[in-house]
Amino acid sequence: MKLRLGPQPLEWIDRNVSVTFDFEGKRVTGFEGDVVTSALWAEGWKVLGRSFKYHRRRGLMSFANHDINALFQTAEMPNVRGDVTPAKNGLSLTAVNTFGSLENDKGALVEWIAKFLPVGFYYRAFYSPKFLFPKWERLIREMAGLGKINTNWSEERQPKRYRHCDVAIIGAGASGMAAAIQAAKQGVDVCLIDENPFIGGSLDYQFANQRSQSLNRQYLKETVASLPNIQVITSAYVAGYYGDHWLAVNTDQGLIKLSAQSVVVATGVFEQPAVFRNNDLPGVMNASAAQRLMARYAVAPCNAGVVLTANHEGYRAALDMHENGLIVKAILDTGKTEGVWVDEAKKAGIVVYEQVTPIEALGSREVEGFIFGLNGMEHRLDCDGILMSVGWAPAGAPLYQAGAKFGYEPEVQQLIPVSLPDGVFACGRVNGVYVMEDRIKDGEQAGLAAALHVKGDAIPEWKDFRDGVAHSHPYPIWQHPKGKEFVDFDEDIQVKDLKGAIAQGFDNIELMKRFSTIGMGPSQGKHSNMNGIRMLAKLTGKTIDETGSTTARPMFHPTPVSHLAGMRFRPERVTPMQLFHEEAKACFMEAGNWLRPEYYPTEATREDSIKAEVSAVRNAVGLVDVSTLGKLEIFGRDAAELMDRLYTMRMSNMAIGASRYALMVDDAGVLIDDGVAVRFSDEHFYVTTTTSTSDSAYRMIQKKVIEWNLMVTVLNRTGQIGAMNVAGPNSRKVLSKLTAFGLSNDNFPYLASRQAKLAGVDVTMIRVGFVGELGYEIHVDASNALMVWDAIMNAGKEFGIKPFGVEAQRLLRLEKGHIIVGQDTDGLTNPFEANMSWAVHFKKPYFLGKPSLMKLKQMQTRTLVGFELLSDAEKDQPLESNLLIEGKEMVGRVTSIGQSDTLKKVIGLAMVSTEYSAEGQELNIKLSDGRLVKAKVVKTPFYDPEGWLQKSNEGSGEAA
Amino acid sequence: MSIQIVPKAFPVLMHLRGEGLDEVLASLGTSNLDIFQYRFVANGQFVAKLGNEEIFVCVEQPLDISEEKKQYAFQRGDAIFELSGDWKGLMAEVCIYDFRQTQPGDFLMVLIAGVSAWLLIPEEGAPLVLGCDPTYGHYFYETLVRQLEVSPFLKMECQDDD
Amino acid sequence: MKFVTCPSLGKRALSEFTYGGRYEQEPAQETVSEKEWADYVFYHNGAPKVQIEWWYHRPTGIWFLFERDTLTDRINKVDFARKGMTHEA
Repeated sequence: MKLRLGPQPLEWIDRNVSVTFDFEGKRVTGFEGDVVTSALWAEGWKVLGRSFKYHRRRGLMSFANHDINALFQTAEMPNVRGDVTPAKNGLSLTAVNTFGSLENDKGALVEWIAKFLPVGFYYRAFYSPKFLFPKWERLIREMAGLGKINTNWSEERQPKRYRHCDVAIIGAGASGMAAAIQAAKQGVDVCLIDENPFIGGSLDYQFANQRSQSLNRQYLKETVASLPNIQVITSAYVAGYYGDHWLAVNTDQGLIKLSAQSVVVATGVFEQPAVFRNNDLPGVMNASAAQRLMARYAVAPCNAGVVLTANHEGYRAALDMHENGLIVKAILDTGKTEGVWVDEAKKAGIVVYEQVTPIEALGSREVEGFIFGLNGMEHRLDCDGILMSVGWAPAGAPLYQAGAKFGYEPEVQQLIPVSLPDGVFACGRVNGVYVMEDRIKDGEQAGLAAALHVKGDAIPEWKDFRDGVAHSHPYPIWQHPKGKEFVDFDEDIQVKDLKGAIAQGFDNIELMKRFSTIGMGPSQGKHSNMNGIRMLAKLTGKTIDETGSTTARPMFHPTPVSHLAGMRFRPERVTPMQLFHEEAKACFMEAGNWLRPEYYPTEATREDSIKAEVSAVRNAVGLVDVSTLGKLEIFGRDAAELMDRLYTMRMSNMAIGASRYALMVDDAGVLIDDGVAVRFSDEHFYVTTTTSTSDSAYRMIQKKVIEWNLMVTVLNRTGQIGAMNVAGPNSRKVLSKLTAFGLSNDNFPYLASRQAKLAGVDVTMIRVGFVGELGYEIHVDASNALMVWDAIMNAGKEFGIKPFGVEAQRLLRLEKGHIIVGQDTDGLTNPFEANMSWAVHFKKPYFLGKPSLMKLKQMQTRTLVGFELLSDAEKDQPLESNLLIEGKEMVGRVTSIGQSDTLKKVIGLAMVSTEYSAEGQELNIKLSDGRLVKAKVVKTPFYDPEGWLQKSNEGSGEAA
Repeated sequence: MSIQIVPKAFPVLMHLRGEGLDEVLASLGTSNLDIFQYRFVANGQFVAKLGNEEIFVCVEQPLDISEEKKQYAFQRGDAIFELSGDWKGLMAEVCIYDFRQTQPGDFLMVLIAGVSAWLLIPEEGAPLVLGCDPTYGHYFYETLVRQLEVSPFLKMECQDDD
Repeated sequence: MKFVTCPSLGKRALSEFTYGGRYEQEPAQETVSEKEWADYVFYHNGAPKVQIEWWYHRPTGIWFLFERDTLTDRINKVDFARKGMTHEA
């Protein structure tokens, strides 16, 4: 283990447990607690990946998942991020974006032709001719892709979980912990979230060897642990902030949707690289990356390094190396930094050069040296590592997403939040506060403010804890005549690329981003946007505030689609007769959110089974489950008034024990629902609605009761009542076996409803036409519905009873010319178009949509007609929605069609221009393949037009 | 603390609407119920108040109500389940509601896994009784059971208890 | 997902509600002119404003009226929709 250090005071690794995995076919051994990157680096693997465009060797850079140099892949998974993925036994990883291997990548040849591939090259070179683009695209994707997707995927869904708290705190560093403590002391529920496996933040790496901070560390961590109203969520990142203080918190287990009343953003900062030639050589890294390596994993960044710095944090990193026995060749200060750590470093004997200009890193595979300018001279230092400490950018994603505004604060040379939305607070380094004691105070004030916001109390005046010292270099960019100074490591963007983009006129931050693709790679600008903004500002002569910054949109890190998808909650309803249907092996179809039997496969084919069901109804008796109908009870003093107002027909004159067709339109006169209304008593009605409208009709009626100020109650009993329809010439005989109630035409005529005992339980029976035969609709409490159904099936055996499904029902009803609201009608159809002017009673003083219907009656342009097909049905049966054509004009469309065995014809309904609606009119139906077939308008109902069968059954000679 | 879900049979569930239901509440010994509160009256039987003119009862004793008094009773066959253990852990995955605001004795009507449901919020440690429209019963049960089986959150919490 | 605090229900997610349109007085059918009726049914001014809206809480079946600012999507006031109420629409 070449670079593993001795024990560190706060290390995360367990030296007693070793972990072994494969990388590029070679064995790697680390410790439990290592991440992939730290285990590789400890063994001296400095080349971890190849760059996206030029296939340059890349090593550890941010070591915080802010760059994708350390991006790997397993057989199943691309996008394995080495900086944060735990090293696990049995892992088998390869680098991405290589041809051949990581060491010998043929793609690196691209670098030799790089000058022919300027930024924006792909867009301009391949955009036209357009027909060639797909070819180029395939080639480019092959060359430039990041990893391979396993195309033998299977659907994976991770549950999501809701969580509620009063104050959510993002980031459990010093200021976040302080905020949590202060908020919790106010008695509110606090969630403290950190993307690392342990809380502590930079206190545990930047200050790991700073003995004076151990008291702060101990106080903060122990207090957080001791307060029961602080919930700590670690190894979880906030993928996005959404309105009303919702946070999408991604964890290994899945997404937590965290709802808070107030949010404290203590996310800290992203360290930004210095931009100089070959700053991407393996061995060049951010100083904070080196500190994380040492403090968390006890891994040396290098053996003998230089520290390029523009702030005192760089001196701390040099001290950390020094105290670990590593050689610091020199601290190269771009200015003249002051501070405690500067003094300590000098006291420790570390060589410090001030006013240094970085020129280039040297090395073929890895860093071998560094050239810098000092007093007008070039100097060279041999080293195997370069630590960069030139500045920071706020980790402001949640703040941007919440709607915070950022402004540039020249004192700290950093963007800081200048206006925050209601209930959102920022503290610590994201707020430009750097001194540890101040960070704690800033956190305390934010935590207190958040808690007070939750309680609705006044928030004390906000104090500024910034120390007035610049912690970032105002322009850490040093162009080199030979280039290769990388601004964006994901996208291989160099200084000249951005200069080129600006020169070509893409000099607005949003344009420059999109043209150059800076910040558009997988790390989304975490290490590159700030330098890009600094360049754009300088080159356009604007301030950084004038230049602006781009919004950091969700997700903060790439989040698995399975986590976003979550589980699927798709409520599915079944009727009380489901058990029968399942035992009868019914084929089911979806009707709204219901499952309904489409047909019962009693014959060899679907068609024959449906035919047999139809035939049973027409010739013997059938039973259909209509429990999916909406069922509403309407009762109270104004029940009749409500019925009159809701439906187009008059309902208040219905006799007790009668039923009536009920048609409803909306304000615009559009037909929205139909059903059957039954009157139980003066003040008690019972109505059915179509399957799909039961919820919306109920909702709307409740609303109208309020608007109209009526003394009436509406109850939705859809799921509490089972319903079935016994239909066919033998239906009366079947029911007679199950009830003592007189079913004769005199006692129970057509369109009457009766409450009686059937099969020993209370039921409501309605004599409706439904499928055009003698028939009874039976409504019964859901708990008794299956029993009644079974009783009818048993009683019907001797009369040839068959259960029938939706397909048979539709065909039977089509033969009667009955419409299906929503299929034969569309979003504009009114009752006149549907041939239902008989159902509109204009004499009523008021009903829903009446003014619209009065107008529409005078301007009818289309009509629903019945038609029969004239050509050979076998070959040429049209489909629903096929168009009707006259000359070159479209004059209508087929809304329903079916092959009627009863009538030996193909029949259907069509919505046509009224001028083509006369009986006998020939229609041309355009088939899906473009051919025209002939049909003829005929009268409906197609079957038993006088309705003898359903009314009295006299048509079949049966005695009532 | 593992979570158990079992279907539960309730003998007589009635939805009452109409006038003068306070007398009915009084006759059941629950006259001081507030809206959206319930009370157990005897071995698993309960009474819940849903509004000034609306109550939901699960009692075996006959109720003295009639349409003449403008009182209407409707039998209900809700699917009912009992959840024991960390029921709030399971609810967190199927229900957006913030359970911090409930008290034992609350009759909570809320959307769970896309279905309207009612819950009898229990005393700490006691099982939760919840119900929904009978036609959603199988979906409701299967969804909760599947969630218990697949949820890594719930698995993790069970391990934490060991 | 917004939360709305409602009387009797407490803090509820908006996903439990169904929107029911703006609160509006229907013109008297007997006397309404064609233009007034068409305005009521079809012509809705979508300019941002504070308006009263119908919202239906599905689990309880209760209609509420929310006073909502359509510019900021802030709900200022929540009340039961009661029979016989009068509101400035």
